[in-house]
Amino acid sequence: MQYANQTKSNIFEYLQSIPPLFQDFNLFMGNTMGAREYWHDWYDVQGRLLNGFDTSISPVLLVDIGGGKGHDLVAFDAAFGSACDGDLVLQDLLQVLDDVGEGQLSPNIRKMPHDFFQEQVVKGEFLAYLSNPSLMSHRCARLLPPPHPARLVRHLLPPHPRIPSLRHDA
Amino acid sequence: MTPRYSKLLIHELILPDTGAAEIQARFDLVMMTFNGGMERSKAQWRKLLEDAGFVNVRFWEHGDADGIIEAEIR
Repeated sequence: MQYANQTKSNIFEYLQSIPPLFQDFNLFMGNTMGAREYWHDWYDVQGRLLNGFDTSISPVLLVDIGGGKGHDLVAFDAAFGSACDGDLVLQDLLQVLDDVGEGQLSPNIRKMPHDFFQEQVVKGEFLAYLSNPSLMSHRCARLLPPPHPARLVRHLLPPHPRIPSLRHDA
Repeated sequence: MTPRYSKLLIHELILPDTGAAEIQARFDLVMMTFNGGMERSKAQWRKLLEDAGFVNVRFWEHGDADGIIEAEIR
């Protein structure tokens, strides 16, 4: 896609340079569940995570890195919020989080602007969660080493340059 | 991340070494088209994470299009 558009930017920088496209991208990423089950419905959250959670180490239970509009954290909080009082942190670019209005997230979820290509700012957290392969390319090894947790996004099909996005030309 | 305490969870596809399902192959192509990325097999995930300093890499597979890769730091 970068080659087709003759840009040296990474894909997220490129998307941000076209605000209507970036908005569509973020909206899309928050709605890719379809008929899939939530990860916390088939991963052993109680056994692998909640049982070992220790607030004396850090009050943070889960950091959703590149969590978009917070769809995964909202669902996680609905499923486990009453069983655990750990903090949930939603990280994404400021431009993404600005689009998440008051009241869209539950009180347990804290927004924290963060670019996952930079060093992680939350230390000692129990769980760093990332979803999305698009980032896990050769650059990933540089991003992952401790104490840098990681990042997430998800899968998407960008529109062809000649196929206008909805908001673009509506 | 805190050694032996913090966990990294990557919500991702986990490809078989051969005989990938159609949706797995499609996602691999999408990632290549989108940003030069790729999907990964267990061996590829393990190498990526261990080269970056992670240990205790574990896999949780769920259908063809969902998986969790879990890892800790030393």
